[in-house]
Amino acid sequence: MTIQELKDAVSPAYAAFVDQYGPAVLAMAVSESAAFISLLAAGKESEAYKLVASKMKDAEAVADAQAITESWNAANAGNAASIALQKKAATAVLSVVLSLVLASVGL
Amino acid sequence: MKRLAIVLAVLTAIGCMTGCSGLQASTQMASIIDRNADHATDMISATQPADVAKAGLKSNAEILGSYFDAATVNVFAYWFGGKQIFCTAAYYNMLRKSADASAQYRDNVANGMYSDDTIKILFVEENKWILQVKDAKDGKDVQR
Repeated sequence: MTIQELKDAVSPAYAAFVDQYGPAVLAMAVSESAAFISLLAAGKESEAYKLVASKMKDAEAVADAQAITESWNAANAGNAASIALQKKAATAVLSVVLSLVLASVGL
Repeated sequence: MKRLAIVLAVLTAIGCMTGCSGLQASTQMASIIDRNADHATDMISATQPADVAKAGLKSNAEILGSYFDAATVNVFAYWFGGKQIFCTAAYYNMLRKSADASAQYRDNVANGMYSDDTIKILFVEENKWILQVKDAKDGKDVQR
């Protein structure tokens, strides 16, 4: 089995998940690979993750943890950028409102 | 001019408050998140012995699991359903991943699968996640 065949067996929504954990799945016994596919096909991503993670060696676990940290970094960078954009948009709207208010009082 | 100053002050205050984070927490949960982040900061300020890190992995799994249990993407569940964290789908997935991973690392460590060095690294990474939940709540971009 290949990574692509694994992807084909599950929903496209899990493509990134298969990219990350597929190599470990391919190293598993056939019955375990089949269980992994069944879990993902049923939308049970947490259980599929646990199946793979329960067999992670030292270096794999460290890489997995660091990947999660990086995902948090990316999520927080996006969140902060979104907040800055919201504030910018609000400032623009408020400046228009201010202009209207000033015009209404004759200033 | 006095009226104008008041209008400007009010509009500025509203503008400053408008930015809304993708992860919101109730007052009680926000306090818990802050307290846990303070402890995480203490834990990663110096290298901890393996036995401390091992015990820390257990408590971190509880903390991260409780965050996921408290999270929802449904605003009604947040306001009326007892959930204490309201977040985007992306943050919900991050909370789930962190809860799943910390629970599995805890179990793997209990099964004697990892060296002391690995246990210490996992402990540091999990403490970063606890800090990153606080960063998410506060809308901060701190690369950890």
